Amino acid sequence: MVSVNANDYRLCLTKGRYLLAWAVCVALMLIASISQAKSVDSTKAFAPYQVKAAYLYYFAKFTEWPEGTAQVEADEFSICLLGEDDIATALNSLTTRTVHHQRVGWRRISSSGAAAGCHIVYIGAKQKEYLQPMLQALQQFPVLTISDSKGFAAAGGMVELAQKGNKIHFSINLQAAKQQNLRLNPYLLKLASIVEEGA
Amino acid sequence: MDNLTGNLLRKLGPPYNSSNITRHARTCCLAGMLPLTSVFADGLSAGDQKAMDQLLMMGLEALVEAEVTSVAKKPQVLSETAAAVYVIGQEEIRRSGHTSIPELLRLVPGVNVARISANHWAISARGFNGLYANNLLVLMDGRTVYSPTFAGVHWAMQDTLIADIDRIEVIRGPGGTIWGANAVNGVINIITKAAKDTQGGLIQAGAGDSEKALFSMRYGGELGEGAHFRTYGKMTRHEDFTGRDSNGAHDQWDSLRWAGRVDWTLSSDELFMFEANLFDVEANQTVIDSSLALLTTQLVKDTYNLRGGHLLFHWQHHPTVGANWQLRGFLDRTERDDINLEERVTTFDLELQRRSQWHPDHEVTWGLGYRRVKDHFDNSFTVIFTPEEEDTELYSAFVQNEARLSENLRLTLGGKWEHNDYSGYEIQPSARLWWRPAEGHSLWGAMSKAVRTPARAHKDMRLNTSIIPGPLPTVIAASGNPDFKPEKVLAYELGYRGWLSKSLTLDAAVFYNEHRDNLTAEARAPFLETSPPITYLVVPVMFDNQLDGASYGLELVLNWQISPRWRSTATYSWLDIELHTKSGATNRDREAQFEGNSPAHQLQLRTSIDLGDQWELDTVAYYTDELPRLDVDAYTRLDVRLGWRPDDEWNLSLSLQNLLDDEHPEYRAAEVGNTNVPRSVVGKVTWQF
Repeated sequence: MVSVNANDYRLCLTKGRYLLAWAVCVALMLIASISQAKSVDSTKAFAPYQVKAAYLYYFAKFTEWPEGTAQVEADEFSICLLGEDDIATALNSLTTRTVHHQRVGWRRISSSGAAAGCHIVYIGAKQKEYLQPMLQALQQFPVLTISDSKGFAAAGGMVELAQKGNKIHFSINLQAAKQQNLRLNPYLLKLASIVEEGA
Repeated sequence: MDNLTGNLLRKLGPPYNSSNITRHARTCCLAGMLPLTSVFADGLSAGDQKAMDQLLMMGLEALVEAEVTSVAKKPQVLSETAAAVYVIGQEEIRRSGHTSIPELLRLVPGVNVARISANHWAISARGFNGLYANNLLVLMDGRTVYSPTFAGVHWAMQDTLIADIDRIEVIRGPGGTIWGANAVNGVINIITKAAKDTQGGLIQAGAGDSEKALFSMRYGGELGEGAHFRTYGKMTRHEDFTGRDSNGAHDQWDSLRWAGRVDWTLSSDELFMFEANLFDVEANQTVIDSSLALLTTQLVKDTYNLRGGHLLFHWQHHPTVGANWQLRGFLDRTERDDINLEERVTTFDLELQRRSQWHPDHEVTWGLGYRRVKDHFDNSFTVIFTPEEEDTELYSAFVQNEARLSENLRLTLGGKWEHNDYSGYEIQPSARLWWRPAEGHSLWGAMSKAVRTPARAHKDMRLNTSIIPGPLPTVIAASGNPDFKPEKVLAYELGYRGWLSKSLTLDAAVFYNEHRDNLTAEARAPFLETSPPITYLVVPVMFDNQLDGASYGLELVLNWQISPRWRSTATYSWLDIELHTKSGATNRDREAQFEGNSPAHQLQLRTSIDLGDQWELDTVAYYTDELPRLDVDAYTRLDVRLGWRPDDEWNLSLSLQNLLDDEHPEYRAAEVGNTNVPRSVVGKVTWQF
């Protein structure tokens, strides 16, 4: 059924302009491969929302919640998202994972009351207006607060994600975390850009 | 993709709660001209899953060093779009077995793809199909690819490395405010991957009986900090199809293409893309040739050439989530030579777009555009363009505001203004409403006006279609009309998208289009013409706008994830066109013609099965209803593809197309010779390294 005629190929290659075009093409490939010093298994770049979602997972792993709290007793490790945010789409990939023997799940919340049982509350940068009241309200719960809002850590949030150049770094407000008896692994502190001790 | 969906479904488990639906119904997208990505039913795009798997495994130290693609893109989830959208994703493209863009469009519900010959297609959505069908706006990475000469698409020259296509977004219905005139029945946007996503080498070779040979080589690499490039060369060769009506086929064609692209991450907020492309298509066709010397019009065998290239750039700046500036420009040159006409067209286009959130609940997008088209024709007796050269300009501006009236209700109002050298000012307003009555279900409605501005051919072309010999020879000439008005459509649409069950999604759209001033051709007073030494009578049949009417229809897409490894899709579309000639018009033929050149029903059943970890089986069955007016019977077509992926580097596939018939006709065009689509087989080997 497949009838490839060798003559056709030869004909194709000897047609003047085809030959020239292919010579140019092959030359370009050769030049490109020679000039490429690095290995081609290249550094893929990620979307900021994907990296931020990944950060939530690592923070979940490297934080310990105090004994006897609803967070420790729960079946599920809850990540709560305040409002709309592009991070939502990547959070789905976390739900296959387990942290502290709890299956990771996420949901949206629209008020601080709903945050009572959350392990992590993520406040998207778009929710700037709600930042202060939210932080105030969350002070009564052992919730790890994370945001990519500028100045979050200074305002009392626990972890602030910031994009510097084309990488995303994080800062920690240790005082805020200590206030809720949340124990952050020293490994996190070592990798953080800034660790603010002040409240 | 199937493993991915399987994971998602395993997570669902009892109790089945509604927040899971929303979660899985959301996908993420790139910002820009309303582009949408990912497969609605999957919830998490294949790209996201792969990226997240990497990020979650690399460790915190590596995460701190991970590079991000600068732009914070505003997600436009597919499920929240107030339009009839269908996205052909990467996996679907790869597993369809199709090797060309026009063939890939068969997968879209509501789009009618009719192959006239090996190198001519008639493609349209919601009716009014034809070789020169011009009611779809077709874009490649934002660059319009329709020919300004007749406002349709030369499909044989629209190609790229299929493996480089990220997705094809099809919006049926008027493109709304952002897209330009001619987006009357839909917009097709072919989006290719960024250079950083096509790194390394790729060699693809294929052979078959109809698609005799195809060979592509692609290489992608880094150019330093934050810059990536790719370049490819592609060659294809197609054999003749089967001749019809005891004529030989004569439609074999070859194409050669080269392209290069560079993507720069200028800063954390800025992206710049530049692309260059060259192509050369040589194809056989049968066309009419009117010769005054011989006093005949006959069908002759011809070889035509399509040559050209383009330069495209796209700059984006995203200072905050939801806000951006974009500047896009292209320079396109196309040369087409056949026995009747030599055509040279150069297009220059520049577009500026800005999106910003001026209120927490309001997002406004506005844009300005400029296009300049220079053309040149070398006429023959059969086809004459007067004037032979023209330089036209088009100015456009649009504004669109999306208002979030509540968490579940959004209203988008917009308008586009255009000034073109042919018909002056055109305004195209649009209103769209999106409503989510419950989690996992959404309804949308839209009302828009769209306009198809006259192309060069409608105004300045004369086609001497037949010569009747005699003592006073008579030439029948289809003539352009300098007063040809734009065709108008007022479209009313309604749609629904939702999860019918854990693994079943439904996307439905109904539309009612009111047509005004549609194309007809009216006989006018004959006149004598002399081309020494011969004097003859010319009977002009001039283009006019004497047709009004309505078209309406329905499109359904049902996606069923039967099991983690088995997915099925069914699509159905129904169309009815009712036109009537205005009183005073002479030609009553056009009604029946337009009503009868699109099928009333189209049905598609697709199945994708993963047989183990390495094997893939994909089957598609298409049913297309008859075109009684064109004497084309209804046909059923079955395509089967078997794929083998032994590892990440190799991909082999065998595609059998049109299994049920030795051959069948799909269309009957008056302008070129028609052939039948035969049963065919293609084998492909792809090596990525």
